[in-house]
Amino acid sequence: MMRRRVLTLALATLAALPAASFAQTPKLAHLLPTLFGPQGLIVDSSRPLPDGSTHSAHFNNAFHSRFTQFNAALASQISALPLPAPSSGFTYTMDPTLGVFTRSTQSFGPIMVERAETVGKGKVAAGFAVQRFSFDAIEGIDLGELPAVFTHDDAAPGGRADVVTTSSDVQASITQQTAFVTYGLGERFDASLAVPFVIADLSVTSTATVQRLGTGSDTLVHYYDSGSGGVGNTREYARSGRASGLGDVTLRVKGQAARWGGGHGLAFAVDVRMPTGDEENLLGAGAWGVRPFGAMSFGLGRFSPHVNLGYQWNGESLLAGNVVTGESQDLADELAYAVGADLAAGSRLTLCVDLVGRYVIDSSRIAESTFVGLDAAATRFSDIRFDEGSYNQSSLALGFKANPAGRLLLVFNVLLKLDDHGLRDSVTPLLALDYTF
Amino acid sequence: MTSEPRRRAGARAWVITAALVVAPILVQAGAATKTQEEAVKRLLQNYQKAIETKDLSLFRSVKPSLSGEEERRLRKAFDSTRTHEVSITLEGLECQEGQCLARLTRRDTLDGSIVSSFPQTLRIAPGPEGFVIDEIGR
Repeated sequence: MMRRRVLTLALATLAALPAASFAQTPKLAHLLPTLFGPQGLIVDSSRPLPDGSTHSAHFNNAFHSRFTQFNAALASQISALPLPAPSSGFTYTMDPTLGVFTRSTQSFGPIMVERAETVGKGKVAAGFAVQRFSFDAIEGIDLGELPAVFTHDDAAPGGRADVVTTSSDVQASITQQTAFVTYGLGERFDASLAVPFVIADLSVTSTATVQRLGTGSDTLVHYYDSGSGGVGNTREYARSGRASGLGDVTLRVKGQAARWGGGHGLAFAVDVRMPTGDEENLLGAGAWGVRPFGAMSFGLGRFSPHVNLGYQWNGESLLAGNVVTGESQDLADELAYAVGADLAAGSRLTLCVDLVGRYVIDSSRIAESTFVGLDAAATRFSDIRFDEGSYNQSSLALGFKANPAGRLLLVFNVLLKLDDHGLRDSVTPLLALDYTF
Repeated sequence: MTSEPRRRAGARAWVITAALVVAPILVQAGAATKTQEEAVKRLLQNYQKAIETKDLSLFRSVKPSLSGEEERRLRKAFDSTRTHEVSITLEGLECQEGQCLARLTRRDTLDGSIVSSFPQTLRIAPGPEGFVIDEIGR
């Protein structure tokens, strides 16, 4: 009766999550590629071309055409958003020759990592987690001051040596509220479902400045209308949006392959991530993902070390391609790993520490560079360039699980970045409640 | 007496002797007596109490064959749970030659939450002060 009530509650919770996403137009993934308008970055000009035609100068940069790669980086990040391990903190093993039960491990288990224990046949563990990512750097470049240099069409010494420099402030955050439930299909086999509700916020403010490397003091060749018909040097472009809705639902099946000694075990699992989140609103990765992985854990009294190793295949996503042209490309695969331990600090408190990492294979990358002007003085400006390559991204997860009453667990965790690779948030907090029925 | 009547008398004696020997066994192999059932129920109550109160000496009194290794595991089990409530239903009892086989259904509550019910079989033997558990199985 209790189990039926729990399942009904879980299904009702999942049904209550909005199926559709809500966002202001345009969709969030289009904000950066279309920041400067549909035609790109164009400045005003009052000087006719040598052939007498009017001159509306168009400036180009990979930033505009290729900054869809920010979306790819974000999609890669979304595809790997760490979920709290949806398994019970309370697992018992029966001793059949005595008719008594022993806690499989004294700790409540890891937070961001899986352990080999399963919840047990017919048991249900359910929970709710909230974590917020506020991205502040991409490849070590401050998202508050992202530089880019736009060169003139057919750049050449002279008037076409003029450039437009931009400094962009990109504020991107994702709040993920995840309902998860685990059901013990057998003593050593369970299935979990994680249903995230995602709120994505993106705002971009870019200040563009005309740098007259070739035209010098002739301000009428390339300028920004000051708004009252006057000649100006700068213009601010700004766009922002918010979207919310169902994220990518993940189904996990886990089976314990071996168990030995006092609480040591090996389990194999597979995560199937479904592209249920609207990728054009940055609510999902926009691609199927399959991640088989192994989890080994050891019960050494109060101390339980564990290790996870897996490989994530990702399908094609619009975010990895070009949202403007509608071209999908493969989202980078990755090797996922974690190593750490949890310590039962008392009967009601477990402390957790983990190194959580991912090796992203052949992904779009952004790097800082220096632009050298075509003027005689070879003026230099900060710029960015786009590459492809693999990188390792690792974080330190620190947290605790407290048991205030019954089978209720209160979970708190912070992810601290250990490097600057990829799109990063310095500190990502997570708060969760977990109950085993 | 002729040899024929003597043979018949001898056969009757064998039949009566065999009946006297086999009859109690046949009776004992069936349902337990009321006395046996009551004694087994008392034993089960003590087994339940030993687990619930985490009383090692009481557990040893209901299962004197407890080995050193089993005692170590029992201590570990008692230490690993805060509360353990046991509900035992005696589903069947068969006794033969003073030994009984009890089939139970257990429904345990560990640390406030119910564990799925499970079957248990106890082999019960006479001890110096009544029945004791000889072997526990599933």
